[in-house]
Amino acid sequence: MQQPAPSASLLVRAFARLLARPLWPGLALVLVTLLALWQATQIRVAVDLSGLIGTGTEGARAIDRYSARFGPLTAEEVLLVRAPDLASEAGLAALDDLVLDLHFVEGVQQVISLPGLPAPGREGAWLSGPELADLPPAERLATIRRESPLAAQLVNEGLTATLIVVAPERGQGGDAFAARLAEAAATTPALETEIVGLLAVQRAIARELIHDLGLLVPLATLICLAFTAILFRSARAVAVIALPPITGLVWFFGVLGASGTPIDPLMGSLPVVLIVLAFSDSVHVYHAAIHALRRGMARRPALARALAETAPAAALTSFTTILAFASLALPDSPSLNRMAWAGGLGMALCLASVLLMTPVLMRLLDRPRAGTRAPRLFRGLVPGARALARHGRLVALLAALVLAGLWALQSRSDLGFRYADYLPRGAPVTEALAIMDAEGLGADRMLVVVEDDPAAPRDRIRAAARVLYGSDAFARGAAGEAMLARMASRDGGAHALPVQLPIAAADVRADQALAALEARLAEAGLAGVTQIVGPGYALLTEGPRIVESLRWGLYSTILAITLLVALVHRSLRLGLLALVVNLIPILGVEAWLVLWGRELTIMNMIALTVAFGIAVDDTLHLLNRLRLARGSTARRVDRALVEAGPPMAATTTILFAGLAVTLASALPGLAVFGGLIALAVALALAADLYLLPGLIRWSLQ
Amino acid sequence: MIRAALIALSLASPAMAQTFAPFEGEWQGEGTLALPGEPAQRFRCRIRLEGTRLSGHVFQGRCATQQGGRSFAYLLREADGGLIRGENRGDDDLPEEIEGRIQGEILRLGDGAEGLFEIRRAGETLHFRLSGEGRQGPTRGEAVLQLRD
Repeated sequence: MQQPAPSASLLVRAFARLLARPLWPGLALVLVTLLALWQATQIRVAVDLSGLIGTGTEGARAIDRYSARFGPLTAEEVLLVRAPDLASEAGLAALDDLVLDLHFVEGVQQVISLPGLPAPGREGAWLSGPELADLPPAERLATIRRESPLAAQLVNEGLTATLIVVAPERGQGGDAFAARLAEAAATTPALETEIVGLLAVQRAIARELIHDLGLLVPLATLICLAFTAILFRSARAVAVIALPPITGLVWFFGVLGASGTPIDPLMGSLPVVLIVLAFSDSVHVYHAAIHALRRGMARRPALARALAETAPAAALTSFTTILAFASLALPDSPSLNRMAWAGGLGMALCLASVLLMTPVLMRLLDRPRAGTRAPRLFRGLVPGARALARHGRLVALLAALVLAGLWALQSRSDLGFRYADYLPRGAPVTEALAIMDAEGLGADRMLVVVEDDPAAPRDRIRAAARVLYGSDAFARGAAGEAMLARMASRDGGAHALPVQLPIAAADVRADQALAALEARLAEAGLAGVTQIVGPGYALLTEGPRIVESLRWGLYSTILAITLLVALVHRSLRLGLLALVVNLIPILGVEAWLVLWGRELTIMNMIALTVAFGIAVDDTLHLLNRLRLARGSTARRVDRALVEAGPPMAATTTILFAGLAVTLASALPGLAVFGGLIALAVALALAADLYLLPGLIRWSLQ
Repeated sequence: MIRAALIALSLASPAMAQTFAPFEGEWQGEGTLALPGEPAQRFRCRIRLEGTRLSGHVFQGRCATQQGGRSFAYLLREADGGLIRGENRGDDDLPEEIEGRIQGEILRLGDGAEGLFEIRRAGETLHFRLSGEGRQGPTRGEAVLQLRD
């Protein structure tokens, strides 16, 4: 017979009161939920990938320095214009019309296009100028592409696609501006135009996020509901288990709406994580209640005791996940910092909902009742776990081998950043970027700031032009001087040369082209006197630094949770055992990433951090049951396995199935995020069921 | 005396509206822009002239070539003796004030130096001309505009 912990008596009384008089608390909960529902209608989705970069980062400071010397760096829209007959009189005339039309779109400040490029030796347009007038259209384009380095960045080799860069006036950029551009482009049906570039990518992500929120959260909830129904075979039981998590999520959405906190790509899967975790807590609580009713006590005191016994474990499991989320506050990254508090708050709200609503619902719906049988679905896992637990030394050896193997594999992991993680699968912008990749066109406009050498003012610029464009012809002569004057800084000490780099739609590292460019600049002896700037550059260079910072955050979380477990159970040994079994899922996921040929990206690191916070939950539930059990170590381990094993398996199945729905997302990063956490919790269950009991017996003997 | 003033005012307003009437509306069309030492370039303009609720007319527009565009906005008011004064309400780089007159179906507004807007109504079209001293020297653009729907 288990004894309640003395500290639980206060909780027992609180839950007993909720069970005895559920009406007013119930009405208060309904009122709060209605209020939250109302506020939830204010929720908005906002995607700003530059929000990943904090103002104190080197990438952001480089942009500030550029703005001070050259003027503000505007976020530009990039249009990919395609036509099979672009290199024809009709095609060029249509392109001409389109460029002129774009000049008349409200809010346009500047249009950079092939027809607008100046001719060598003069400032007027080259493509429509007299120099090329006698040539056939294809020859005109080929000449301009061959002889102008800027043109080579704007038109593909096959002469079927060209880029137009449109800069908005200050304060004019945004969705409405892009819509006006698209509308203007649609008036030239001879050309197929797609808005590409970082801003278009962000809009596509926002659309996909809204779609995901409308699909994945209900789908995850349905899966959890279905699984709960299979497990407990009672509509009332499903209501008792499901309503608190759903309510907790409504509260979370309400707070987001009321505080004006937008949902961004990092937070996209957070609602799914919250609902499945809250379901998991709810199932644990319900399971404990069934067990308590079998002890022969009256229903209400038994339920109050069960709730009081499970609440600390549920609070502790939520607290470990909150700790994991809190570590996202470490990097200088507004998006991550926002997720840190939103995740923590969401966990706290869902826990509060489970602990406050469950007793009310148990009373109102009269479930579970005496005689209710615990689900038998996962009982089959327990005998094997008990049998293995008897071989403590073997288990210790096995754990050491697994840990060492996974450690060796994960040590080969690399840090990186992939645009493909953020590009919605099948979206027009993703397809357009893939075409641009294939055609050698870049959608991400960056600037290479070249510090002038006072002794030879044009030497470095020409050297940089040769690196960037393959030729320095554009920087020569009177026209070259006129062009360079437009690129000069206000202080006259530097020039900013534009360069189009790809937003790699293919599943490759995003910084490949950038690294190659930096290497070429270094080879030309320009490493110390050039600086690449742009929102894309900041993203590519700060991405790995954020991952590194997240990695330290994960280590801090691991340390904090290990200490927490040791403190709660007043045993450093148990804390270390918990560390061993919970490192296995984390290292396992990292090892899997290595085998899969993936780097540790921002999304992957967040997934690992959150996964650790979740993976430790089963350990805590098992250790909680171990703490409550009496008798020898072997007996306590046995009892803990019998009581905690099936609900651990049940909740892991819920977590796995619920999180797996994120795989249906068209946003690869979000899908991988949920997938990695699902994998981690599955590995965590295996480690908790088959390694932890044996390790405890081996260690405590 | 008051009656005479009211009659004068009531006569004055339609008279002013009448002078601008041939040019009122939103117009768009194309022509050429000539820069010193450069071949003529394709040039598109869209202008709008309309009365305001207070006395005056808004004259605004945008002209562009493949290489760039420029907007302008002036508030025109009729001064003594049929003189029309325009006050810049847009781009800081353009003259603060322009002035001119309507002669028949031609509205000509200048800054007293090289800068000039001229619009001439010819049947269903509006001939728009602008000139000024640009970075490269004297610049001159001409376009034939049609009334937009």
